[in-house]
Amino acid sequence: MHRERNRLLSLYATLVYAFLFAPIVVLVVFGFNDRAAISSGAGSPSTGTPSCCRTTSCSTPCG
Amino acid sequence: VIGYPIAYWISRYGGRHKALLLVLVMLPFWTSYLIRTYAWMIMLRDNGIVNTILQAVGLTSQPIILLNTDFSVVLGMTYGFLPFAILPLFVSIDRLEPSLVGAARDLYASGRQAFVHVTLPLTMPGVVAASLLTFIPAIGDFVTPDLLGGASTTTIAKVIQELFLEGRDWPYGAALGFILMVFTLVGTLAALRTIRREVVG
Repeated sequence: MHRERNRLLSLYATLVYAFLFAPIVVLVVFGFNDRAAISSGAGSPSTGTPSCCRTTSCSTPCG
Repeated sequence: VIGYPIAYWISRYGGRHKALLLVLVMLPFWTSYLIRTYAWMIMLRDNGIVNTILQAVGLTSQPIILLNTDFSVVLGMTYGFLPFAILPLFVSIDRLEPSLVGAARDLYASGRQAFVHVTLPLTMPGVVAASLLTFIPAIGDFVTPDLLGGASTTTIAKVIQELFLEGRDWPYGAALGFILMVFTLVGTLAALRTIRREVVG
């Protein structure tokens, strides 16, 4: 029972630490992303946008 | 409520890593509050990480509106003020003499009874201090409701900010600010009285 409670508390603590560090991880991930905007419908910053959107002469809709 | 279990866990099961675990609680807060709030905006938007995960797991087929809701404001404020709750709670729990809990267990109290009748009452000053330390900045926070709540969410601090900057109604804004200050003062005095009663007896 004691060990089970300990395990539950440890799991809870892990979740709280994940909650605390989630925005930092997002910042780090987007810090290494060279796209100016994240507006694709796919939800992921690395998919859903034509590669030519990084250039100024692109004629494809960039979303 | 959220801070107590983790403060308890660090204090009781942290061992020689207590300091490190506490630093890990503080570490995200070395980044600007505004930047962290923007990170939450990125995560909570319709095509953000949270919705992507929910859809990938199959919990939803359409994106759920998370941003610009009361939920996002509560989440952002909980995130912003959690360490202010964890630290006083940790100090309070860590200072608690373990032999008192041991004595309760010797007198046939179950773990839950020992917690409810010994640990919790003796750490109540920490709970009150944590409530106070989160209540004061939370009541005056206008950045989180503004960024995460959008136009639909209204808090008194946001109203004051809008009165001063957009409405240009300084007297009304000042009056509301004064009322807010009185409320905060009354809450603080009540909490301090409770702490004194708990500590002095």
